[in-house]
Amino acid sequence: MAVRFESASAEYFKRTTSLPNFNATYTAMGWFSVVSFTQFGYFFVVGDAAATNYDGLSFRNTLGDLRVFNNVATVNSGQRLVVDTWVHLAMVRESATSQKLYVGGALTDTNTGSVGTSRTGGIFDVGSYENVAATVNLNGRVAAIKVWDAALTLDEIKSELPSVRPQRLTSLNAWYPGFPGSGERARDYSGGGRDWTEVGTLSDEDPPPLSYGAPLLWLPYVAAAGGGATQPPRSMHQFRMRGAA
Amino acid sequence: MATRCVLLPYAAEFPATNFPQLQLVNRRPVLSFDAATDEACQWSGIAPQGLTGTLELVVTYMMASATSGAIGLQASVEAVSDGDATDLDAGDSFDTVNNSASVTVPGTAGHIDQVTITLTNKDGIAAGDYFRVRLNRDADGSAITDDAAGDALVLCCEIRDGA
Repeated sequence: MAVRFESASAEYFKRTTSLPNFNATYTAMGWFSVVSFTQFGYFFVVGDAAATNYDGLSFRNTLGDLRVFNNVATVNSGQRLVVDTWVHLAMVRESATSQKLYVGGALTDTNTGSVGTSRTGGIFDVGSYENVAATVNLNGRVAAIKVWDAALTLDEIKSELPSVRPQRLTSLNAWYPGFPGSGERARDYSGGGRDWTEVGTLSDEDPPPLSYGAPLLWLPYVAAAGGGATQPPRSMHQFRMRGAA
Repeated sequence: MATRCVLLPYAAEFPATNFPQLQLVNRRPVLSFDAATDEACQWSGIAPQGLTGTLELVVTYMMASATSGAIGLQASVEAVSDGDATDLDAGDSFDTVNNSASVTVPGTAGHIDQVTITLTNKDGIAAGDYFRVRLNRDADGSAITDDAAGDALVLCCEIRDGA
């Protein structure tokens, strides 16, 4: 249940409606595994098509060093990814002056660049930024994307990390289990109909070892029960049987 | 025999490597076990009160494409009682694997079959124990003949006891 983006062919997910509001609060998270580090590879971008206003998360060099950035400031993270290794990444917009990066459920960087509250957007991409250049296209895999119209706390991010299914349902914008197949891999399971548009010819690969997050189904067992009663004629009577497991 | 719990694909847990893919087949959730490489998943729970007698794991599966050949399934149990000196954050403690027979697959892909694995080796499980049960397809045939081509799609499993 992982989607493969091939950077040479400009393959990514895109949405243009019901977007996270990057002038307010939101959270975008997912599991990523990078196949190769080009100059940049964009994980998440919320912004406009003209690349004038944006929030984003990407790596910034061929070593796999991360950065969290917006149209005002860039924070070069000390976090370095490893090729073909699954990692959980979360980008959280808390306010106009706080854009956070979480790696593996730990807060690593905060971008305090003041972006104001009146930016215009229109695009939410995963795996590219509108293919503005081949260098922004991610060569890698993504799984278990989840998006909220709220800034999740550290504890909430930690609780979301180990399961495909979202634990927090309040302010859930969308979530994507990414079952294989055209259309299915882009399907939003929140009920909000916020499916991705698949740009390019995407494919499916092995996912990270994530549980879907459902419980076992337990069946109460009752041994054979019996009882008896004598009922007078033409009268109401209650007869109850009880079994012990 | 009595059904004690049903193990669904959505509740499966996975090791770090070599695990079946959780997929939808005709909108049915399945765990897709590879034909060439052994893959395993597991489920966790608390052994119910009144657990007694012989335990069995009944696996309901269908084949993605194979209409001939056989598969081999293995089940193992890890049971930890209150007070056991088992360090759960340091490793696993599964009992010896229990092997199914080498089961001929249905002649039509998509038709179900049910395989019963007797959990002879059950790690001394008792009511109230924290337990895990692991399911593995012996795809490389190291213990059981498994030569059916393509994925084995597990729809669900059932734990039965001797009640």
